Amino acid sequence: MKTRSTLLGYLLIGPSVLLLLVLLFIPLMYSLQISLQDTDLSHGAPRWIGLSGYVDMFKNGELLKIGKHSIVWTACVAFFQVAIGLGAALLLNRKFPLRWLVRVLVLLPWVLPGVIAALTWRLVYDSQFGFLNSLIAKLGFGQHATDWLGTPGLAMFSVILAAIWKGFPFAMLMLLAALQSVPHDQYEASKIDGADGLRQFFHITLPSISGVLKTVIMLVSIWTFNYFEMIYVLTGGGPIRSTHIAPTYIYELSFGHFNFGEASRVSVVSFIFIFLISLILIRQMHKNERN
Amino acid sequence: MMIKRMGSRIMFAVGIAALLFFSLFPFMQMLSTSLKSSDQLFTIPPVWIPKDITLSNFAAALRHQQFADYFLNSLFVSVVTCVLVIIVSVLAAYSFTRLEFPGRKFFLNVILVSQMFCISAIVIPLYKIVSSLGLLNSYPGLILAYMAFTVPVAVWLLRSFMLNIPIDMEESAMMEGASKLQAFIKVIVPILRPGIGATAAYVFLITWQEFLFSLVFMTDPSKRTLPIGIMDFKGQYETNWGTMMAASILISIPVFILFLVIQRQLISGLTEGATKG
Repeated sequence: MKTRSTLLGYLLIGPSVLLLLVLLFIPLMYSLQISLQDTDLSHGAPRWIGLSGYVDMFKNGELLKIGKHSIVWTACVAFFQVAIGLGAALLLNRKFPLRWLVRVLVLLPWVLPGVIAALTWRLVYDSQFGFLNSLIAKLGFGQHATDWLGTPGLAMFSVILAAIWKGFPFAMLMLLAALQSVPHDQYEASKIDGADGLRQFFHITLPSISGVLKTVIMLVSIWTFNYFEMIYVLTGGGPIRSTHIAPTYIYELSFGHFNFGEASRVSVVSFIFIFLISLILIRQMHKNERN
Repeated sequence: MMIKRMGSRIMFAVGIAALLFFSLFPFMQMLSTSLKSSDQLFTIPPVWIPKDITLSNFAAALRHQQFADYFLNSLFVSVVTCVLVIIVSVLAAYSFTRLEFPGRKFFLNVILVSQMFCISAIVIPLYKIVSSLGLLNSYPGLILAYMAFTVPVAVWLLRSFMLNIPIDMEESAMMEGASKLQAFIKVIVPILRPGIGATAAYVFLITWQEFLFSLVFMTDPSKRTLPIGIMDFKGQYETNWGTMMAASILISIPVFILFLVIQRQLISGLTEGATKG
């Protein structure tokens, strides 16, 4: 039985709600306000321009380019993090000697501080001293001096690979916990019915972990969209702006050019984008729960 | 049948080996670089296992003047954030799981939705607010910003831990004459201790490695935290990779140990929070 106590209830959630109001929701409103101003230093003092800043921004191709990069980045990283995480979870759900050790080792990338992961990958990708080119040579594909981060077409692939590496253990961790709660007798029953591994996976495993799977997909997508330091350290958005995503672009606009108005416009647009995506995902989750 | 079994075993072993290789490959470079002397660092092609192992990079990292300062700054910010976040979140989680009041669902959703906030969307207004309050380059400013995005996660985790504690336990304590507050302190807090530990550790892990806010708010070099401080080794003209990787290892070890300790608790909190939405 829950106790009915309005005053105490509000009192106890008060600090958290107040904190979020002051530190998240009010700043968001403030962002909205700044986004309606022209703050380009070369135009003199900031002035009110209403929505025309947004119109100009959409006409200017840069936002579309950044948006495209952000979507490619988020979709690829989130998809492969979850896919590899699921594969790893299925492997590690089987019993084998030294399983605990393998589990700990596989978790290391996720626990490694983000900047350090980025710095390490920078070294791995180095065209001369990096182990990646050396690995390719060792595998017998001849000497390579590929500049993984400096080649425009390749840089996006490189940062995506590093980000997948950094985050897949989180998906694995959550999915592994979900797999362990799947009742064992269901598998026994389906074995008697003659179902093979693949059928078992689609008819028993996947439905039972779908709740956690959806939460993981949502969290991972949002985190990836906001993931700043990997790209900031690896490429800084280059070469020729081919890896700029929303957070790095916002950083460049605000703290490189001090154009807070334009940066806020990008923030507001990315906020709305994230918000809509989460809304769709959450509705999807609730719909499935009811069925 | 036998052959099929052998085949699946081999496939399984290959899968595990591939997984391990993928996860550990960058660590090999990290470790190898940190153990090489400076003249071995830049041989082409790179040597994977250094011939003469040297610890001089570790010594250099520890001797680096600001390293200890950065470490203490990071420790201070993370510990204070943890304590404050836990106090605020335990209260909220108690309220959400044990009390009934109008708007409970609404406020719970507000807190849960805050997790989905686009961090880069609030960095600018927060920067402006913090700077107009004169809190740039001050720890309170950074700690406040960290609280904004760790409180939602902490409430989420603690709520899922508290849902697992049967209400009967408090009720029986209250029958024996304890007040609601006494029942909370005497019954719930002791059972919740592992959950609080896991949540605190998670908050610690997030703040210990936070990058963007620290980069923007702390422009004074002496106030920097470790994640920004480590960029020092990336000199203006040439990066001192050996020392940088040694420093990276030193920074990561406490994190790894902390994580190993809280792993089990953390996972159960995260997954239950995910299923009991």
